[in-house]
Amino acid sequence: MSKTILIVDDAPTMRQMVNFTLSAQDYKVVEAADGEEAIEKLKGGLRPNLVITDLNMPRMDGITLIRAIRELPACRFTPIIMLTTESMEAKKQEGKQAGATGWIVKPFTPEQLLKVVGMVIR
Amino acid sequence: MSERTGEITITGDGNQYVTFSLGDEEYGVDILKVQEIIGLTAITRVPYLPDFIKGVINLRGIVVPVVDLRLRFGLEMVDYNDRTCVIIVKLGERITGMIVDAVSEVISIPKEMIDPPPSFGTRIRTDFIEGMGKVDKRLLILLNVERLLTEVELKAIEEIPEVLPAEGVGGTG
Amino acid sequence: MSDSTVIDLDRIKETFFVECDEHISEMESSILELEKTPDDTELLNSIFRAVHSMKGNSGCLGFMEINSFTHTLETVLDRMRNRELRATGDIISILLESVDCIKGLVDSARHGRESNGADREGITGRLKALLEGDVQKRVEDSVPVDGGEERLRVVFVPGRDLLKRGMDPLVILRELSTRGRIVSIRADTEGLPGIEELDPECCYISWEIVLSGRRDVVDEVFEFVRDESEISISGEDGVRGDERKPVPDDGAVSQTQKKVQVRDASTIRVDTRKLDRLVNLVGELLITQAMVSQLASEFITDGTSPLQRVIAQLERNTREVQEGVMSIRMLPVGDVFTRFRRMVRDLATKRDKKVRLCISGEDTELDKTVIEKLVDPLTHLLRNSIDHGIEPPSERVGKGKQEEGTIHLNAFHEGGKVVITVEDDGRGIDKDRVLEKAIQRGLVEGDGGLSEKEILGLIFLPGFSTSEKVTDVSGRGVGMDVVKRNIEALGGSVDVETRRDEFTRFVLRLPLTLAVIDGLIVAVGEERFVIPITTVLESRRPLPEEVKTVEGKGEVMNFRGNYVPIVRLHSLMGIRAREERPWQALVVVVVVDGREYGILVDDILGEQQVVIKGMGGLHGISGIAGATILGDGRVALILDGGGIVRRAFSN
Repeated sequence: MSKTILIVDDAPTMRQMVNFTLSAQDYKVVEAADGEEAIEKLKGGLRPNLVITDLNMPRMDGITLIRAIRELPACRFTPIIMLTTESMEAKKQEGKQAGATGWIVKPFTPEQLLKVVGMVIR
Repeated sequence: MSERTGEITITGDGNQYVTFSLGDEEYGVDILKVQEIIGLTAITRVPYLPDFIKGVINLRGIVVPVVDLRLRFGLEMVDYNDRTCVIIVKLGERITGMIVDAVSEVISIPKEMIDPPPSFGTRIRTDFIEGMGKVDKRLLILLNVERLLTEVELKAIEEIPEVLPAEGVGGTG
Repeated sequence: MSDSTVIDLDRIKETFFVECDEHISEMESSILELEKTPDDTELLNSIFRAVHSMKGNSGCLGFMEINSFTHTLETVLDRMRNRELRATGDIISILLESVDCIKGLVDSARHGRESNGADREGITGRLKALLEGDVQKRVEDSVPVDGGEERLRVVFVPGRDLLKRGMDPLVILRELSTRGRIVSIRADTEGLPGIEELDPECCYISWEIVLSGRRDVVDEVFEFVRDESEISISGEDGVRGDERKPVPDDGAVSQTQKKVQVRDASTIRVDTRKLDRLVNLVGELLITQAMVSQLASEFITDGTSPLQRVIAQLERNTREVQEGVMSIRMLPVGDVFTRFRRMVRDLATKRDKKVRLCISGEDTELDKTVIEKLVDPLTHLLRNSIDHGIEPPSERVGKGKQEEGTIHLNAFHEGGKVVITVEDDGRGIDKDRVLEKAIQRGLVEGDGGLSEKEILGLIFLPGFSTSEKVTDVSGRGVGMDVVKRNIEALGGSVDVETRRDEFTRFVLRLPLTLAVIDGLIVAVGEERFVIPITTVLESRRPLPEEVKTVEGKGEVMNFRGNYVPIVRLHSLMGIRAREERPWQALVVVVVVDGREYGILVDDILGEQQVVIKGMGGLHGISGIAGATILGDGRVALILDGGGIVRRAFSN
């Protein structure tokens, strides 16, 4: 059974790039444009094997989203990868504190994305 | 319009000027360039500078040079008293104090009441003058503080010793 | 939305440029290392990684010139990793030129300029020629094939709360199995608590895995768990993935470990302007604290007063905050040192000399501003060593020396200062010649009866040069006098030691920081001055018979058997002193240019850390290094010993 990945990003180009890359590897990809939409989908019964989220988004930012996901009983152990725009350790640490599993620094290549995905789900 | 008036930037109905006195003459400085006016505080003398640079003061943690305008303009020296003020002028990042006899008021001068500096007949160098402002029957000398204070800086820089070029050094030639 | 995209892109680009700078400098130093150890896989990998990362990111950001160039370079490097190409001198040169090319491309991209197409095409052509085998030197069969694989022992102790971040240790183990050939896995269940204490959501088990694979590839697997887990990756003793391969020498191993360490350190990038502001604020805090202390001293009559205790506490805390803030600005000098490898190599080649640059003490830390200002003087000293110190190979052999000369660049701490030495094993400085030149140029009268040390000091005088011909590198209008002035402007000093045909050693002593100095507060009349402690030998009140006026030398004081000239600070500063007779006042003995001078002052008020402040537009007054604000709120001038002495004795 193919694995489901939820990508949360307000930039359509980024969602498309992630979707395109992962779909090609037989992952099922679900998109959400911000944290609130993601939470709605998760509360609606979506059970992704992995969540990839941007940090800087309108309505609900990535860090808040990560915390909210960890609050959902079904998602306590779901891997979460955050997309950071800078290799800033501070943001990474904040994300980790909130419960993020890993990170990938933008900009990244499709290969880098697949590599990181491989590091948290299998 | 002469070339010189082109340098004056006047907005709206006219600029506001801080006026002060030196001897029996009245001067004005564009209020936008004045950061504050303080009473005279302890001045630390700095050697090797022209007399008119009296030294430096501590303005809330910043070391600020102060210029005695009387000396700058070649007027006779008088003792400082409790009316003596320091006008703190801010030009870009540079802050400088000007010691004057007394500060009088802030007035608005419409631009049509400002004449270009006279080519002669003033006691001070005409390039220090931005214009002559007429208020009631008084005549105010409006100062070009940029010019006035840039020269302070130049005087200090002249002190930098010359660098003599030399080629490498070593054991043999 | 579109606005934020634009801003984001600019930020990404800026990040990219900063990263490129780091990659470029890492590449450069790795390539130079590689020249020495051409079979070092770890070095190749690090160069490859840098290029690979620049390629990926430049592509994402649409910098197609960088992308296409790094792509070509990456292909070459990949061949090298696969041992199809070996790091010969030719290839090292091409790689170094490639670094320059990338530098140029990045610079053009950063400023939105057109890049120099001709340069790029030239070097691209040469890289492609390598790939096509024109210049290619196939690795000989005798050279062991090393895919970078080695037998590794990995110990992985997961952080207890790993699962709560959605990380599954098993995923890591599985990922490991895809990145190397696993030989054995052993689970350690020692850490498991009893069932009543066991929290099913915690990790208690650790693993020891033996596998063959590439260290960097294996290391990467732990990227997301590094901070909270214990991970050690070590080579299995003597056993490598491929038995034919030589055991890596200690250097290579320690280098790898060092790299892992560096990546472990969690760091954050901060705008230097924020740091500068913080340093300024701490300066204010120091001054305020001094003011509070001074005010309090007027009330405290009794040594056990609680106020005094609190004040003492405040002093300690302030000092600690100051030290903490200053330490943030500290950087290892190694970054600057490694920059010189390239310069030394290029210049030595140009001069047909063989020169090896040895670097040590690269972890020694110095204030960022000091480091930046060190580049020019060090460049000059190194050029000087190559141009004039190190002899041509034939001459060296004739002297029974090794053909290859050595320049040693070293840094270490000594008594609250950082000492940097530049030492070459060349011909040394010919003191007779120095004296001869100095006399010729009218810098010394007669033979002056100068000591050896004083003769050597002459090379730092403006207008002095023993070099008869202007070389294109050393002769750029800067002499040793400029080196000396630059270092002194940093509050430091330069000394030189030399022995004929053996060595020349320049010793630079630098303060740890520029923003704050320890000063001796002295009074002259109503004025206060600060003399930097670093220049002060001692202070004393001379006996009347110890002070003499010597014809031609002026007033001197007997100090430890020598007569040192006395500088009357009050007359130099044009102020009235309280006391003009030295035996009623105080003489502060300072060392300037290796000579002792006595500065006559009324009184010494104490020793204190002072914050150096600018003086508005009034800079560059010789004799005055700056100003500071004392505890009573008054401004005091900081004296510059060199300038004072020059003023006092210029006529």
